[in-house]
Parts: sequence; C-alpha cells; structure tokens
Amino acid sequence: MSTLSPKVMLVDDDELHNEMLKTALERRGFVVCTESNATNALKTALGFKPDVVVCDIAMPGKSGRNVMQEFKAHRTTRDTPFIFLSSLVVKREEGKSADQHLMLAKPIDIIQLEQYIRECLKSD
Amino acid sequence: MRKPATEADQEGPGILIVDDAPANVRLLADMLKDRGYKIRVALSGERALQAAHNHPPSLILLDVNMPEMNGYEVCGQLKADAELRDIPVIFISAMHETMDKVKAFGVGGVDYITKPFQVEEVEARVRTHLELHRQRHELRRSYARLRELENLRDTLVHMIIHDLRNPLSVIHGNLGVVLESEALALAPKNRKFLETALAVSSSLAEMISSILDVNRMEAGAMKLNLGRCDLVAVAARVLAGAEAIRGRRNLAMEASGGPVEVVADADILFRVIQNLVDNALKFTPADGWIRLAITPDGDHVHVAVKDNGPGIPEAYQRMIFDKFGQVAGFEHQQKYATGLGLTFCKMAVEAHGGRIGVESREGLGSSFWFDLPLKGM
Repeated sequence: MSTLSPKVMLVDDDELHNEMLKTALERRGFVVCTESNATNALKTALGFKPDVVVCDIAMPGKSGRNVMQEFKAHRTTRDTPFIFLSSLVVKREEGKSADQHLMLAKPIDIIQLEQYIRECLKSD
Repeated sequence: MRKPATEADQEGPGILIVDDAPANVRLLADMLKDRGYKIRVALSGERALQAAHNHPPSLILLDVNMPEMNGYEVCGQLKADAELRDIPVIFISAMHETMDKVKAFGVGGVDYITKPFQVEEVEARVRTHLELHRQRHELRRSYARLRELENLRDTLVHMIIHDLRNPLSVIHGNLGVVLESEALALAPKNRKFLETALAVSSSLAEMISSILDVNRMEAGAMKLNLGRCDLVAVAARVLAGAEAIRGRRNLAMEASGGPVEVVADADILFRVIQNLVDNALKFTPADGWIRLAITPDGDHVHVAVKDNGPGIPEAYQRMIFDKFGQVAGFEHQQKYATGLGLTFCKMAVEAHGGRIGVESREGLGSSFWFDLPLKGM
C-alpha cells in the first residue's frame, strides 16, 4: 500500500456515478481514478496501481466479477481488494458476499463505502 | 339438435377407431363420417399404437375385447407414452360382454360406449370429449404463455430497478456531497431544501427496495436474520428518520414505557414500520397527526400506526395489502398506498409469524396495525 494518500479506482459504466463517487471520495482524502469501460479496467489499473477497486457488478460487455477475475489472473493486480456496487441487492444484503467480497447497494451510502475502503486498506 | 362437426374435426387429426371386427368398425365409421368427422381405423391393438404414433389422433374409440392385445393394455401403453397420454380414449364394448368399467377408468379411459350404438349417444360423447380435450390443450397453452409473460415481467422489473437505481444513486450521492461540504455556507432554508431532497431520495430507494424484496419473498429467496431486538428502539429510529419529511404533521410515539423485546429481523422490522409511517405521512393532511403505538398484550405485541387522514373505503381495505390491490383504486383516480410497500409489510410480518391489518373509517382516519409473537418464534 502506498504511504501517500490511498488510491481508489472506480469502475462503473455510469460516468455520472463515477464522478459523484470521485468527488465524495476525494473530499475524504483519497486519490481517485475512474474507468467507465470495464474492458479497459485492467489496463488502467496497471498504470494507476490502485490500493482498492470499487466496481459495479452489472456492466455492459463485462461483469464486475469478470473484471475481478482478470485482476486475479494478473501478477501485479492479483491482491488488489474489490468492493462491489450493485443496483440489484438491497441494503440488508450489504457486507460480505458469499465469495467474501464486500458488497454495497445503490444508492451508495458514502460513509459506509469509506468504512469498507478503510477495512480493505487495513487488511492489505 | 344435431350439430355438424366443426372444420377442425374434419381437417384435424381425426378420430381413430380400434376394433378387431371390421363390421363393427364400418358401422361406427360410417356413422361418424356422416356427421363430418375424419376417421381412421385400426384392426388390432398393435396397429392402433403404430397409427397413434405416426399421426396422433384427437380421440380414440377403443374396443375392450380384442385378441392378442386387449383395449385395457392398449390404453395402458398410450397413457405411458408422454406424446400420446393426453389423447382421450373412449372404450367400446358390447352389451353382452363384460366390461370392467372401473378398470376402464383406472387405465385412463375418459368414457365408455356400449353396443349396439345409438348414433346420438356416440356423437354426444365424442363431441364432449373432443371439446374437453381442445379446451385442455388451449388452457395449457395459455398457461405456458402466462408463465412466459410472468418471467418477462420479472425480468422487466429487474431491468427497471437497475435503471432507476443508478440515477437515484447519483442524485442521492450528489446531494450528500453538497450537504457535507457546503452545509455551513448554505442559508438554513436552502439547507433544509437539500435535506428534504435527500430524505425523499432515500424514500424512493426504499420503494424500489420493496419491489425487489417482494419479488424475492415470492420466490422464497429472502432469509430472516433473527435476533433479539427492542421494538421501541426500532420505532424511535424510524420516527427520527421521518423528521425531515413530516412537514407540520404531528408525529409521535405512544409506548407503554420500557423496551419491548421481540425475536425478529431488526432491519426488516425497521422497514415495515418505516413503510407504515411513510404511508401515513403521505395520506395525512399537512396539519394532521400520526401516532405510533406499541402495546404488549399477552403473548404478542400490538403495533399500530394511526392517522387522521381521509380513511380508506371498506372495499379497498381488504385488497390494500395485495400485490396489485392498489391498482383497483388507482383506476378510479384514488390512491390509498404507494408502491409495493404494504405488500412488503404483509409478507414480512407473516414471515415473522405475525398478522397485519387495517382499520379505517372514511373521513376519520386509518390505523394500520400488526401483531408479533412476544415469545421466540
């Protein structure tokens, strides 16, 4: 993990959503990079080197889980933790999913997201 | 009273007559042909099965007493074949022969006719069973089509939910960003506007969640996270959350005093009460009041959300918790609830072993209530 501000990468095909979260997270002291094309996510990550990836589940072309599998298969990004965002789960289903990844329901509770990011950074 | 055979009877797969005595067959065949039916003939059980396989008929007239393979056996084999089992079979036997009627029905026959034939009787039975068969076929097709539409609807609901939640998340998030960073710079009035917008966007998110939850509960895919929780504390949280949207309405709790502990899913209970309070707020005039009462009563606790809104006509009270119950009111330009909130409440309360209901009088107000068992479930 970087000793400077923690780096968060946002992957969501909804650019307005990316912008909103970027603003909210930057105000909380994170360095944020956004990627609205799931297919480019790995490439962007290899350049940006995020500490945490916050990734939408349902995206055109490639699902969030596919993106994660790509990251897992690559040496550099293998251990980068993922937090998933979904518009198909409800609040009470937030938290650790069956495969042990953190999941947040849209609309996003920014305080909860920050808490999840911090958790990921700690266990990094 | 004789009705001619329909076009479908003439052009369709027709009737298969199975009898080892050619004279009998001819008599029956001529009789039905005269009435316009399309007829095929098989002189043994073996051939009948073959003929049915090659071109399934819409009905089979089957002689009971045949050498080699008798009618019961033929029928048994037809019923064992998924492709042929739906074809109605009417047994035929001569008056002097012994026919085991119980056995005839037992192996899957739908009816029987005894020789000598009476034209009218034969035709009446044939017509009845052809019609039944046609209707059953149609019913099955409609059912399949309905299931298809139902699946389509569920997929559509999921798509809509997904499409609504993204922009909602953007609205909610951006309001939060402004409130967080500019709170001090904002005029109090403007801050209030933003807080209201934020609270309303949360209600909207709740409404959408209810649709998802109802879908899941229907599919039996929602599990309760049971634990001990204090109903009074849960209700207090709901009321605190409703502060921003209550306007001038008076919103208060009448609790008996101390905590009321139940074994329940606290999140779900929160949302049940929230739905009832939100609903009451929406249907109560700007200067109205809402009372939330929590009353332990023997082995259960009674929770009521009362308002002095316009009330609900009796006709709608029973259907208001139904998934599409509100549609009826909506068609008459009347609304007594929003979204699937109350449907969610009913399913959630019943999942906890409780009951839900409404008491209401037009012009006086409504009381939505639910009971939960006090002892563990």
